[in-house]
Amino acid sequence: MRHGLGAVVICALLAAGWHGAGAFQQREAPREARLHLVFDGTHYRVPQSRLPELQARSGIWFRQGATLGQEGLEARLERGMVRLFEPVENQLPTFLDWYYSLGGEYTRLSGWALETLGFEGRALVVGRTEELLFEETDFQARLAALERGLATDAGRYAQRTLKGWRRMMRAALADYEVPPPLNHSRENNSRALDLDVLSSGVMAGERGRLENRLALSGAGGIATGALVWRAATRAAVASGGRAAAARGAGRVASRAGSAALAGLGVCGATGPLAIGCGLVAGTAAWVSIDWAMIEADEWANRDKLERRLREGLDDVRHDLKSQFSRALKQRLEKLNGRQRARIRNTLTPLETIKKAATQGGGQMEHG
Amino acid sequence: MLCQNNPMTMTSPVRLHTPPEQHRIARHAALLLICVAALWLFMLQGRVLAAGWVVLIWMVVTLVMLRGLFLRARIRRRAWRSAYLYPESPWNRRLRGGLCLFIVQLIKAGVLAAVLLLTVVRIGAAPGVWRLMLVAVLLFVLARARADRVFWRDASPAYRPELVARVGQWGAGVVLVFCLLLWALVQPQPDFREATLEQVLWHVTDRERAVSVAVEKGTQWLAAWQGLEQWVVQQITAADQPYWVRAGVWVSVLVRQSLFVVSLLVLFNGVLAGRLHDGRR
Repeated sequence: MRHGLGAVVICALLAAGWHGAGAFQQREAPREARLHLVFDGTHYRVPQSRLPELQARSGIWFRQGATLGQEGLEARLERGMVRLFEPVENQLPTFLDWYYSLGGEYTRLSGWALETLGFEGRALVVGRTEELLFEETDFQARLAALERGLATDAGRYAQRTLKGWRRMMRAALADYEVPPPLNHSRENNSRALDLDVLSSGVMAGERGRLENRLALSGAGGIATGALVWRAATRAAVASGGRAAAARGAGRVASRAGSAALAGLGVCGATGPLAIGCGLVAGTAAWVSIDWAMIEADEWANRDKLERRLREGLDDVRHDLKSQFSRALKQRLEKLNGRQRARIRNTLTPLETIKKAATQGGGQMEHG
Repeated sequence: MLCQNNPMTMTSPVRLHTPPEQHRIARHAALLLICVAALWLFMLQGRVLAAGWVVLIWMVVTLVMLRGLFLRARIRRRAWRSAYLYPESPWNRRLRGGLCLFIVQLIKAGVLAAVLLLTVVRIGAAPGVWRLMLVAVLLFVLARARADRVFWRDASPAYRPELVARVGQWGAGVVLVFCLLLWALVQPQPDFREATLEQVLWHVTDRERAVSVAVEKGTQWLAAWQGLEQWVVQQITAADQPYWVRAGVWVSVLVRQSLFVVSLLVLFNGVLAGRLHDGRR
C-alpha cells in the first residue's frame, strides 16, 4: 500500500516536472537601453543615459567652432581688404593727375553741360573714375579671388571643426567600444546607427557649395566708381555741387572772354585770314588759359579732393567688408548649425526612438 | 589477525530484516525531485536575485554537498586506515579525518556548488536538460537501490554507504554525460566561421546579464568557455585539421559537461547522505 502510494506520488512529481519544464521563462536581468553606433568603422554601444551629454557636447563644439572660425575669417578678411584696396589707393594720384588735366577738365565740363541739358552727365566722370581706379588695378578679379578664398577658408574651418568633433567623439565613446556584430560582413546591421554617414555625407554635399562664392549682394560686380563718388561727395554734396557748377560756368565764360581778347591781340590782320588767325590764336589762348585755371584749381583743391576720395574708398571698403562678414557668418552658421541639428536629432533618445519606431528595425537595444 | 576484531570485517550487529535501500526508493526519489525543483526555481530567478540571496543559496548548497562529501571522505579514510595502520596505532586517531579533511571537502563543495548553480542559470528554461535531470534522479535512486541490494550481504557495513554512493554516482553520471554530449552534438550552433575570437567571446558573454555580479561573471566565464569550444571547432573544421584535433575540443566539452554532472550527483549524494547506513558512522 505504502509502496503503491509512493510510486503514485513519484509518478505525479515526474509528470509535473516533465510537463512543467518548459512552461515558465527565466526572468531576465534589467538592462539599460543602449544605442548601437558605428563611427569611423568602429562599433559602440552607448547607454541611453549618456546620449544627452554627447549631444550637448557636440552642440557646444560646433558653436565654438563657428565662433573660432568667424574670428579667423575676420582676420583673414581684414588682411584681404587691405591688399584689395592698396593698389586702388596707390592709383589715386594718377586719377587726380587726370582729373586736373585738360582731358579731365573737358570731361567734367561735358558732364556739367549734359547735366544742365538734363542728361546723365555725371556718368562720364564716374566712368573714368571706375576705369582709372578699379579697372586699371584689376579690382573685380582680385575681389572675386578674395571671395573664393574666403569661401574656401570657411569650408576649411567647418571641416576642421568637424574633424575636431570626430576626435572628441572617438575619445568620448572609447569606453563603449564593442566588436563588430557577428556576420557583419555578410549583412548590414540595420540596427546600427552610422555616424560616418551623418558627418561625411553632410560635408560631401556641402563641399561643392563651399567652393562657390559667398553669394554677396551684387556679386555680378560692384559699382565701385559710383560708390566712391557717392561717398566722397556725401558730406559736401550741396556746396560742392554748386561750387562745381559755378566753377564750370565761370570757367566757360572767362575762357570765352579771355580767348577772344587773346585772339584779337595776336592777330592784327583783317579779313578771312584774320578770322582763321583769330580762331587759331583764340583756341591757343583758350587752352593756355584753361591750363592755367586747372593748375590753380589743382593747387587749391587737390588735397581736399584726394581726402574726400580716400574717405569714399574707405566707405566702400567698410561696406564691402560688412557684406563679406555677414555672408561668412551666415555660411558658417549654416554649415555648423546643420551639423548640430542632425547630431541632436540622432542622439536625442526621443527622436531616436521615434525614428526606430518608423524604421521598424529598432536602433535601441535592450540587452 | 587482520580479520579478527577488525571493525571493517566484523559482522555488524544489524538486524537481518533491516529494509534495504530498495524500500526507500520512493522517499529518496521524492527528496531528489524536490531538490531538482528547487534548482529549477533558482534558475527562474537566478538572474534577478540580489547578491545576498545568491550567496545564501550557494552556502546552503555547499553545506548539503559538504555533508555527503565529508561523510564519504571519512568512510574512505577509515578504509585506508584499516588497510594501512594497526588498530592500536595512535595515527589511527590522528588521521581519522578532522579539520583538514573538512576544509578540503568544503572547498570542493564550494566550487562544485558554484559550478552547479551557474550552469543551471545558463541552461535557462530549456526543457530538454531539465527532463534529463528528472531521468537522472530515477537512474540515481535505482542504481543506489540495486547496489545496496547487491552489496547488502557482502560488503562491510562501514564501507557500504560509500560503495552505494559511488555506484549511484557513476551509474547515473555516465548516462547523463553521454546524453549531454549527444545533446551538444545535435544542438544547432551559432555560425562563428567568419568571426574573430574577440567577436565571439564578446557576443556570447554580452548575453549573460544578472543583477548579482557573481552570477553575471560566473555565467560569462562559462559562456566564454562554451563559445571558445564552438569557435575552435568551427575554425578547425574550416581549416580541415586532423580528427584528433577536433577530438581535443570534444574533450573540453566532456570536461565541462562532466563538471555539471558531478556537481549535480554530489548534491544528490549530499541530500541522501546518512540514509544508507545501518546506524553506525
